[in-house]
This record gives sequence, structure tokens and C-alpha cells, in this order.
Amino acid sequence: MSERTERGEGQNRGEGYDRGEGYDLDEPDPSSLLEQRYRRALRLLPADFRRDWADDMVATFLARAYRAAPGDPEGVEASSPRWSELVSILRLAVRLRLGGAGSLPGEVVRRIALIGLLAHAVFALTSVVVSIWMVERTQLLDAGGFANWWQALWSTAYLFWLPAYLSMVFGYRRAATVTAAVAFLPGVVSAVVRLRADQWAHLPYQIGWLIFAALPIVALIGFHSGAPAVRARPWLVAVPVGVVLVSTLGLLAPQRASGLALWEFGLVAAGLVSLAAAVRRRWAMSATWPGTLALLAAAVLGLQATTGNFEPPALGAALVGIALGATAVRLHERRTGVADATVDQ
Amino acid sequence: MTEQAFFILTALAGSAQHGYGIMGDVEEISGGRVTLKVGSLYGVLDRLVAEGLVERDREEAHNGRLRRYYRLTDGGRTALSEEVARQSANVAVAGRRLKIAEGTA
Repeated sequence: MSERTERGEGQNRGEGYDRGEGYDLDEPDPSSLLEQRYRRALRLLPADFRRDWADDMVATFLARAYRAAPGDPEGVEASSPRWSELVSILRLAVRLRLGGAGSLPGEVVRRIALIGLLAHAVFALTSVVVSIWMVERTQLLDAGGFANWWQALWSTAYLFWLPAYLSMVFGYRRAATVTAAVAFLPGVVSAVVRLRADQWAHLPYQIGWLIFAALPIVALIGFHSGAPAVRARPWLVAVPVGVVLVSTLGLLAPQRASGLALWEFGLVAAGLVSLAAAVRRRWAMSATWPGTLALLAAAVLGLQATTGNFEPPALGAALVGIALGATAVRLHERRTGVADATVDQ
Repeated sequence: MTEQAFFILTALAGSAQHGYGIMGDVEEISGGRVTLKVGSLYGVLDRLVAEGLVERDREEAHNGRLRRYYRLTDGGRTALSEEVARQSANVAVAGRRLKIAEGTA
């Protein structure tokens, strides 16, 4: 590459985008409030990344801000970063700390998002199917009037988990995040309503359940949008299979088919399959599935701890979770050669 | 190669640019379809620099602050050429299949 090519054309093109009058004519105060606020937000990023990129990022943020309001440089200097910019910094911070697309943490985050959204979608579909069946059977709408219509409408709001899940499967991460946030709202409102009805004894469980329900949304925020989409077919097939399984368990053992118990049964089953696969392949596989399931088992057991009630499904999930965690560590060490390097030393 | 990385390399293929210039150029050459956030831009740039596809070109003082320019490395130019060849081959195959399908319809 010649020196002329590197510096001639590039210089002209680069400067063509920042001819905002305010920015060019009025030299910005290097310690403006806006700059201080950007620098404060950038503290979310890891220190080594900040050392390399923070000054340049601030320059780009400020160039955009002055360009957006060329006639009001004083107003720009006293303004605050936009929410979308803060979210982009937060997402970058989460991604840098968890690892990017293709890394083990990055893939684990993606699968936590997928499994969490799948579970929400399956529970929502099952609950709507059961509600419709009950309305048909008992004519509740005719008897109860508006309140029951409202209830029916309320439960259909949960169905937003389905488009959230499908958006994630087909690689539309932003659409998935927005629809998942909408689907999450009824759960928040229901929890607040229950607490207002003097059910304070359930406060730790309510908060624990909300945090657990929000896990896929947190994972979506940290997930790398540039990662290639997953193979859609198995994830699509999982929806009807999940609805049939959950409905069947609900009909056969309604007392035992709580959301938490279903998570525990599901994790034990998936965990055993994953452990069997690791043994069958003689430990020559990725640690992604065991790692994902181990983390989910830890989250479920954390939620279970808020109830103070450890029954056999929870104990099974605990045992399988520990085995999965140990398997994930072993597989990861084999893949990265950490164990061998330690032995050699 | 992700779409964001592809467009950033494409923006730098013509000339060295600073961060704000890359953002505007990516929006322009993608026909407005890809709009980079600052966080996304520097996340991808960090990775491209680590992979040796992009490097720092120079710093210039502009309105009292240093502005850093980036350019493609030889490795970056090769990677972009390979990606263009791969996408072109995909387009050619898809185009031929579509023509066959239209001919038989």
C-alpha cells in the first residue's frame, strides 16, 4: 500500500463527515460536562480496553453530538449522553467481559438466552392453551364479565415470549430484546399486585423468580449481535415438543408441575443427555452445553433456595449440576490445553 | 466474517479513516442498512486490530483533540478479498439456481 494512497484520499474522506458548523467553528471545551459524562460511562469498560480506546471513543461521541446540533455548541456541552449510546457502552462492557462470539462464555450466554426464551415461550403457549380450554369448559367469560376478559388478555401478553424466541432463533437480536422486555412486564406487574395483596412472606421468592425470568433478557443484552445465527430447525421443533411435554406433565401430575419443578426435571434430563454425550465421545466435545446447563442449574437452585424447600427434583438438579460443572471444566481444559501445560510445568 | 466487520474493512479499503468517518461511511455504503453504534464500532475495531486486519495509521489534531486514523493491513486486504470472492461465488450460485427455477416455472 503506498503512502499516497494511505494518507491522501483517506484524509479527505474522513474529514467529510464532521463539518458540523458548531463543532468546526467553536472549539469544544475539552473538559465539558458532556465529555465528563461520557468518560464516566466508559468506566464500565475493562481497564485495558479503556486505555486503548477511551480517548478515541470520546472524540467520536463528541463529534456525533456536535454534528447533531451544529448551532448550539454550548447546549451540547451541557447535555447528557443519549440512552442508546449508554446501552451500546453497556453491551460492549458485557461482551468484553464475557467473551465474544465463538468464545466459550459468548456461546454459553447465547444458549442461556435461547433456552430461557424457549422455556418462556413454551410456558406461555401452554398457559394460553390451558386458559382457552378452561374458558371453553366453564364459560368463565360469560359469568365473570370484563374481569375475566381482562385476565384472558393479560395471559395472552405472555405470548410475546414467542416472537422474542423466534426473533432470537432467526438472528434478530434487537427485535428479540424489545419483545422479551414487553413479555416480561406482566410478570413484574403480577408480582407487584401480589405484594400489594399483603403476600410479603413470598417476597424473596417473587424477587428471585423475577431475576430468574429476566436472565434471558440480560443474556440478550450481552450477546454478540454479529455472531452467525443458530441452526433454526432443532430450536423450532423444540417449541411444539416442549408444549406437548409440559401439557402432558401438567395433566398427569398437576400438583408437581410447577414452573420450578419443570425447570428441574428438564435440566436433569438435558444434563444426563449431555453427560452421556461427553462420555460417549470420550471427552472430545465442546464444553458449551455442559457449561450452559451447569449455570442454569445453579440459577434454578438459587431460586429454589428462596423457597427453603429441597425436594428430590431439586436434589437431582443439584447433583447433575455439579457433574455438569466438573465436566465443563474438564472439557474446557482439554480443549485449551491448560491441563497439559500445567502438567508440563 | 460478520457483516459489521465486512463493512468496516470495506470502508477502510478505499482510504484510512477515523472512527466518526468509518461510521458515516458504513452507513453510506450499506445504503443505510447498517448503522454502527460507537460501542459496536470500537468493539469490532478492537477485534480487527487484534487479528492484524486493521492498524493505526496516524493521529491528527482537530479542534484541540487528537483524532486517530485507521487503515487496512495487507492481511486485512487479503481477508476482505477472500470474503468478497466467497460472497461473489454464493451470489453466482444463487443467481444460477434462480434462473433455472424461473426457466422451469
